[in-house]
Amino acid sequence: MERNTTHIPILRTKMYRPPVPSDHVYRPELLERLEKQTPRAMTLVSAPAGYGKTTLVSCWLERSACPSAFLALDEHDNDLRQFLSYFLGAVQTISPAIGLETPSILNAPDLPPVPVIGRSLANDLHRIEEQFILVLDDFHCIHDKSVHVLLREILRHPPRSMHLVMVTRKDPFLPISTLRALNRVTEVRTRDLRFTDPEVHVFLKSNLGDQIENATSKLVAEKTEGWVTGLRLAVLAMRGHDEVESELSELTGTTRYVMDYLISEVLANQSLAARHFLLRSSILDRFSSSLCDALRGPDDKRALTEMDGETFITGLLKDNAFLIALDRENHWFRYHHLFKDLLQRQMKGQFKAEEIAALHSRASEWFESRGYIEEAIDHALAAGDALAAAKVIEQSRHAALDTDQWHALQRWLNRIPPEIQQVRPILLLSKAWILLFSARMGAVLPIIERVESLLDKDPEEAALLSEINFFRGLVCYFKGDGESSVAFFTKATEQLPKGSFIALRSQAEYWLCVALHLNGRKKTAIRRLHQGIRSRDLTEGMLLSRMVFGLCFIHMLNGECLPAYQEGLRLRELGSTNRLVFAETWGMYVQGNASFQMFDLDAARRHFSRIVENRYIANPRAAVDAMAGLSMTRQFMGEPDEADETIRLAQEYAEWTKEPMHFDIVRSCRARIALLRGDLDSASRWLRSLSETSGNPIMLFFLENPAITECRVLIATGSDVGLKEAIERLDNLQQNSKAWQNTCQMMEIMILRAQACQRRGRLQEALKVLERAVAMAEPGGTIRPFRELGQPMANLLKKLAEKNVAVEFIEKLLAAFPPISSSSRLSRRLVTSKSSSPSSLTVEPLTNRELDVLELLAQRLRNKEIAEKLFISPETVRTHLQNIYQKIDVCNRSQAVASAVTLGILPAIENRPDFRPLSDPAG
Amino acid sequence: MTHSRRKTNVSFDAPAEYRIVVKGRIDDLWAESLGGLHIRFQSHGGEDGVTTLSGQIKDQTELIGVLYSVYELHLPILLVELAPK
Repeated sequence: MERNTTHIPILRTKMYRPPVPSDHVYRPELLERLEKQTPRAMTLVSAPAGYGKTTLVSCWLERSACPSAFLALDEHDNDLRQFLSYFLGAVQTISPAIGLETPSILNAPDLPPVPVIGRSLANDLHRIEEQFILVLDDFHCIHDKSVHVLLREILRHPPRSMHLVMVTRKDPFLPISTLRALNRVTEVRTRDLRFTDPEVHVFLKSNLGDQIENATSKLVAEKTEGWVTGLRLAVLAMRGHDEVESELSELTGTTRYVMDYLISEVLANQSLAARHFLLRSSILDRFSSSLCDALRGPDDKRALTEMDGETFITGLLKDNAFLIALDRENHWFRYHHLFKDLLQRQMKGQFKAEEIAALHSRASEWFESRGYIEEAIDHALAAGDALAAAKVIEQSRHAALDTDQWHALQRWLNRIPPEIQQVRPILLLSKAWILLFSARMGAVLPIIERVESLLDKDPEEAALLSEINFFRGLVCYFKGDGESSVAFFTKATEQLPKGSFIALRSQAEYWLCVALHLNGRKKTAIRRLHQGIRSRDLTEGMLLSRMVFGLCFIHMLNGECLPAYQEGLRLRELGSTNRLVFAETWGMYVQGNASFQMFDLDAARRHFSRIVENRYIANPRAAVDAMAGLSMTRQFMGEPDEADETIRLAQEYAEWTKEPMHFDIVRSCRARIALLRGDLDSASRWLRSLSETSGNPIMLFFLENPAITECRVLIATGSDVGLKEAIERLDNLQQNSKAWQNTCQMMEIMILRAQACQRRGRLQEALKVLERAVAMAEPGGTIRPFRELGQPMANLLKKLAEKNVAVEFIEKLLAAFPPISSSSRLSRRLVTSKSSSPSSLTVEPLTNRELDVLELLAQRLRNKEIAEKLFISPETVRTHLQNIYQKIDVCNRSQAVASAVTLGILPAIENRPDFRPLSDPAG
Repeated sequence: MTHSRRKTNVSFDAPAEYRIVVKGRIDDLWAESLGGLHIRFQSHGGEDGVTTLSGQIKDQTELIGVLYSVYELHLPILLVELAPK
């Protein structure tokens, strides 16, 4: 089995255009019609089985100057993911570079809405410059609605370069009549495909020799109604049987009746061995000589000596007997569909049910031994042996998980009846893996408990024990029990035999480190991860990327922005080289999150936008968070419309995931944006729309946590009761974050708490808490949580700096705050150049009255004099002064004047109109 | 009124009695593959004639399956109707 750009295994045989049979009748009118119509959007070749649809198309493609791709569909393609990967695989045979967008979508945990896929596929197709023909053969096999919807989307605005050919036994559920009205479709139907009398004559002559008379041709044409399959059967029956012609002439009734007569004649013409081969192989959708041999059971010994699979196939090829080659090497074949149906009917009449089941069982074993899991499952189920199908999955699941093909595993598992799944520990464990990958950890525990109860009676092998311990560890981890989870994960890594089950190895190593961190052993965890990364070969992409993700995880939880950013970059690169979607998208997320926390808005916007573009293939929680992050980033950048647009996208995404938590995240993000806009009413309104959140969620490193945003809004709206409640809630969240070693959220919580204390007038307490938050934020360079709280936080930080605490870092923090907005009055007074003022010290704008007071202060007037000049009371002057001190962060009048000059609020002394140098004799 | 109401009282996923008439012969051997319907051939001389398939069909899915099988058998359909009880 080969692998293409997606993670779905591709059978190349499905993309092989069947060769034109040597005895085919050249049909110039039809071919010309097809060739002339390629500028149209599509061709529909619609007729029952056996009318030579595929042969005609194949003959056309062989002669056409236009490059073409071919795809034979079957029942398995009734899965949008599978259909798309084959569709892209076929197009890639023409244009290998196609599929920049769509293939990555195929690896998404849940496929995005069909219109989204349609747009992406249309984009990919529109990029192809060269004209080409794409044939979808046997399209009638497709009954999955989403595939029809997808093609409908594509045909709405057909790509200029692609001419789509649909070969089908029934008209597809597509707007054919519209296309017909627009003259955009060419149709070839039963009547067109039917052989004319002269064509029948040519066909019979080429197969049976020149002695065929016109009358015979006419008779055969009449009896078969120009149905080429009938003609072919007639040829096979007539070879060596002179009486066929006369018997045929006596037959009345429908063509089908003629067919049954003919097939029985054909079979009667074969040797016993060949007849058995024919009947046995009729259960197969495709076969090779080795598979044909494998179908012979112990009872078929008598036929063994006479013939083997290869002789059988060579004989069929020589007879042109409905055999269709599926590859150039003549390795795989299939029967013509109708011939297979006819054979199968004969087989069911001749073989007992148990014999047929035994055939399927043997086919299943053969397919399994060659790694064709899907077909092995098909035949096991056709044999009525669901247990055997279960065993096939049990044998193949490591390979599937090790190559990140958990979707395939999920698909296989879905075919096993639930009652069997429930009693097979390995199947249950497979289900646990799928739950882990699709982020539904809640459902894992009962499954693991069931596995344990089932295994009570059986001796446990090391690898299995390791796997169970791994899942036990996960359950403990999500309960917040670091110690037990470390113990379980350690056992899991020790018990797993070397070199086996890479998926388990990499997951167990990763989770062990994450659990060590939870257990307060950060250094050990990081060391272990680095060691692990060093000891891995670069080709071990899966293992490596899990380790690097482990580093990202720990750095982010610790608010270590720069290392998180760097590991995020490495993760993304590993992901794109090894085509590991989880790594690539998480890498983007980590880069975005870290940039935002460092308040590098341009970088944050870039990385967040990238993950938003890839939202349908990313982990949904990360995608929602990235959208919240992007929305805030844009608000900070002064692009409120873009911020709203991102929120709208997030809402749409939440509706797609249907996850209640995501709706809350979107609502609370709206509240936060409202706060940034100073719109307290809207913020409170959004807050009220939150659903009841249960307890303290696991917040990890996510930017938007509704529980925290609730406190944020309470603090901003600031009644004393509200503030008290916020502090109480923050204390609870703080406990929780501490237990999770979640420094990243602890910082956020403490910064909010400091602001709440300040608003309650408890300055000392506020400064104490803020001091701790600053100490936590400084090593990792976290800025955003401070910046988000605006000017009051800047003032509080300045007070802290005055106490000589983290002066340099606080200066860096303050640099992130916006410069004071310039009122007209203020700008008038900005005599000195802006650049001369340290931009780090930015202040809340002063009111006009305050500016007046400040100006008079610079003239060294007393409060009483100022009051007189401004016609206000000295009390009011004092209030103004207090406000000014707070705003520009000073303690007395001389500092106020000096600082106002530095900040450019007042002109420098020498520029002042009232400046009188001391040396001036006039003074 | 009562009659027509009963006639239209058919739902997408519920069993119903149907009668299907096709041109040409279908023999009894096919009953198993045609939803277990009763198969009756009326000869117009030799193999020419019409076949009537009748009986209960599980749901619309099975009905479409039967019609598709008739199509695969290459027989033109003359009539499909909900059988009056």
